[in-house]
Amino acid sequence: MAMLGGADVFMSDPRDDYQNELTRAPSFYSPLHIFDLPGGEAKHYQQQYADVYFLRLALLKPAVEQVAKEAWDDFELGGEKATQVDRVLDVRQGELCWVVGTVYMEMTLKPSILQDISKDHWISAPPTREKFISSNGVGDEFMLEDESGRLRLTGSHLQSQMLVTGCVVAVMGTENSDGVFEVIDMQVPDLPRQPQRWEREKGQKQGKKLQEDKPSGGKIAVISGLSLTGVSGDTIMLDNLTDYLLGESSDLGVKISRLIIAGNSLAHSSPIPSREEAVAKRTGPRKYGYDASAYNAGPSEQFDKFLSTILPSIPVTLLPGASDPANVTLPQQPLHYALFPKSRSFCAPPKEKSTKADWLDRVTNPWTGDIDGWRFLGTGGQPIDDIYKYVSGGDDRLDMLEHVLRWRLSAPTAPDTLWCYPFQDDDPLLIKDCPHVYFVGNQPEYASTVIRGPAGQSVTLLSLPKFSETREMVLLDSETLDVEVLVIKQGDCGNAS
Amino acid sequence: MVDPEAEYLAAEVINAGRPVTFKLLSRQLKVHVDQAKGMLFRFHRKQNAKKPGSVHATYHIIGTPKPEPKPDAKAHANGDSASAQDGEDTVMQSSPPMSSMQHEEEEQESAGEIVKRTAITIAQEQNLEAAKSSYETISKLFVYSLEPGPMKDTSVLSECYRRVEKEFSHEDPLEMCKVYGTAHNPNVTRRTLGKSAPPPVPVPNKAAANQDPRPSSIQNGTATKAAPTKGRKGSGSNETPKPTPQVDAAAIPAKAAESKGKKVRVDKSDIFASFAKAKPKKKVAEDQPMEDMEEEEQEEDFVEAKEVEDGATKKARAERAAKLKNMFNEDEDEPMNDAPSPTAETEQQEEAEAASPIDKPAPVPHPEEEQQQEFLTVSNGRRRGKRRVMTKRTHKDDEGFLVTKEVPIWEEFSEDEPAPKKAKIAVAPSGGKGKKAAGGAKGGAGQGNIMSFFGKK
Repeated sequence: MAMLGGADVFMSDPRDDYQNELTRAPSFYSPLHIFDLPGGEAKHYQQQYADVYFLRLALLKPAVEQVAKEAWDDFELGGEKATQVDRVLDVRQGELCWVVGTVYMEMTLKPSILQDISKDHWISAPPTREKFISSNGVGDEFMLEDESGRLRLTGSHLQSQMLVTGCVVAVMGTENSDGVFEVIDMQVPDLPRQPQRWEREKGQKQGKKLQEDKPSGGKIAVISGLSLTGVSGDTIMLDNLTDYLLGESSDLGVKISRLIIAGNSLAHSSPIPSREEAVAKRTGPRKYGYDASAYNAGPSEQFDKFLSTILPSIPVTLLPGASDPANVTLPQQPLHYALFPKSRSFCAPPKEKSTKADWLDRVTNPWTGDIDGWRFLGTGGQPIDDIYKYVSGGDDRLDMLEHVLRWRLSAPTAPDTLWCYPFQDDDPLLIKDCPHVYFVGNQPEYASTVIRGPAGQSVTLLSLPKFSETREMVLLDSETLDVEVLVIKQGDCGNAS
Repeated sequence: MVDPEAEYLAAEVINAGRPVTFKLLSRQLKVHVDQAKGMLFRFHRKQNAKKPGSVHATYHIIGTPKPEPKPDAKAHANGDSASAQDGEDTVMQSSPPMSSMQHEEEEQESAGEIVKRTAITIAQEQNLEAAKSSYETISKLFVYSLEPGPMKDTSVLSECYRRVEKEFSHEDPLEMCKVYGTAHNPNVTRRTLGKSAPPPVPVPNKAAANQDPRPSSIQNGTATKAAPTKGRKGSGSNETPKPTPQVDAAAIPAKAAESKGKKVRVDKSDIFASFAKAKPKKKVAEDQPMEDMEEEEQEEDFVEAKEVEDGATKKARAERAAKLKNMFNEDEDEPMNDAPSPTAETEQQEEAEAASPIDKPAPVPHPEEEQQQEFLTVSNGRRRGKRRVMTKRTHKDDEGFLVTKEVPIWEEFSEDEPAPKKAKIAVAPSGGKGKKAAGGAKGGAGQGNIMSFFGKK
């Protein structure tokens, strides 16, 4: 342990000249509204989900083909050149070829709507599976499909790959005598084009100016999983966080120019209670009509208080998460204005369309936008948690994050095992621009890394832990994108020694 | 020279036995947070010099922690078993299986090793050295709070935050940040609405806080104690000496209240109306100490409401807020008394604040306007007739909100007995019962269930 200079400046009698005014670094912020769903009548659920897959394949096929062509152009096996086949049903037995399609995973443990219907006498849903993949690999099949049909895949190469339903890949190999395609190699779309820093601002006039005026060294704080319950005794953690963010406990917090809250701010507020919550609710006497005791305003009040305390000093971007009171289908729409009676004065009034982003910006999940020139893409964690169920073995979240970007799909498993809106003409869940920072909230542990793409793209991946469990918040340097972790240690339970 | 903080800290920490954090102190004394940290240190030093162990300190440490050993073995323990989720769900940190994708970089760094970490610890006096030793470098160390003795759990300190939130919520953070040294953000955008109508401020609090921080805080302490039962008890004990001289005066209004209670029973739904209707009674009981204050508060509320009520849009908003408030009041199954006890008053005010903290306080709907009229005929012991009752109608407004409105409708009724007769019987034993009713009215024991108010006496 070493005390830095000035560390104990407050361990002395007070002086009278503490009138220094700490000024927070500005945050250059321009969100993109690609995940906003149309409101009112324009949003409906009449359309089929099949269009999602059709669109996905149509948009990603050119990209995959290009990657595959480059990779397999001069590939020869036994004097035979691999040729491209347009549709999966055109694959001929014994011919070395490659084909592009959407992966479909047949898993016995995966929930199936047909099963649900045939067993609709169930009183309550079965417990959700931790994993869809079976531990011994029995009953799990890989398939590749396009509009023509499905092709069963096999081969040892597949076992080493991470694959989930919905990702678009190119596979090379031959169909064997069983009619199963033996995969030799596989290609994915890989990272899309990455915009340059300040690209959007450069188009406008003052973009350059912004960049020059900008003082360096600001930090962007990213946090997830506050999981407020309104009753927990450890509100002191949140209080300490508040002090830090406000710069009252330390002037380090002043450097933070923006706070991003990546989902699960409230613990049990999903409109669809989980199985455990439903069971817990059912105990106790049943009341008819409106039951005031069934609703607890405590968590949202606590959250509103927290926000209203920090907002005068720091702008906030707020994503909803799985346990937040937003819609449950991706993309989740912004948390409603009415949840924040105190802090909503930092939002523009509803129905008033302003060009400037709100100070308290309630955004969608997933969300994308530019902060300090960098393109950010983030989710509350549901897509990654769902991918986890498909993956055997370890729990390397960063690997999943990387795959999501290389597949160019924010939520590959939607709509198969993840709820999503049935997009018709355009699918915002396709990643069209490679972000500079990709953050995913509510993961079991903090992790971060930098990955690089074929065209020199460089992406900082952030797996954010749940603050309620690890007490960690991640700080990103707004110039270098270096990552830092702030942890509020629990420790100290007063066991006097 | 007496230190400015000495009086307040002595009252709070030593006498009242409550913890005080630097944040609370800075708010109370209107000083910079850094100065408050120094003040806590000084008080701790001086007090313990006089009498060792009389004040206990808790410290706040921020710095770079020593790297923790990695739980490697644990990480590998959970394989692919489908049920291995609980608790042991650790990411393999040190040995990430390389993604087999064709990216040439092998420089995937595992997390935590290179990443800079900053840690914050709240450590009590006795654990300070242990906490300090877990740090590699400490960049700031200061006295976080003072309390009478060691705490079982530092989470009791969050009580101080609740007090800051409660007692200083009326302050405009954008203006006070200079005083307290909160990081100031020049780019903040806030709707002007918030400024034009700040949430209603309890008058006595403000005045007392300006003059002398000590008594106000104690008063506030009892009034705003988190547990409502405690607050109630406090106010009850304030008023226990009063009822005796009031008995005679209270008997008459009690009767009135009783007969009104009968009427109220007609429309049980309108708790708000019954609440307001009982008010005249309070006026009879003149020598209530709290009354003046309450009146003042209400008046101020009205003045505020009038002041801001200029534009047509604002008016519309006020109306909506009123409706909303009405809705809140009805939905809430709040134990309410005939007369508003001080706690009920504050509770209600808080409620109003919560309902419309930005938008201005809604004008209280006047119950006298919704006079109930009855046309009745009495025939062989039964009363028949029509009366006007308020019923709730819920509909969707143009913005998609569900709006519950009270609409008067005419309802036929027939009853066994004339109601007033029964009420008289109830009042007749003036001594004990009247006293009890009056006592209950003053926010004493009668705070129980609202059903007892409507029930037969």
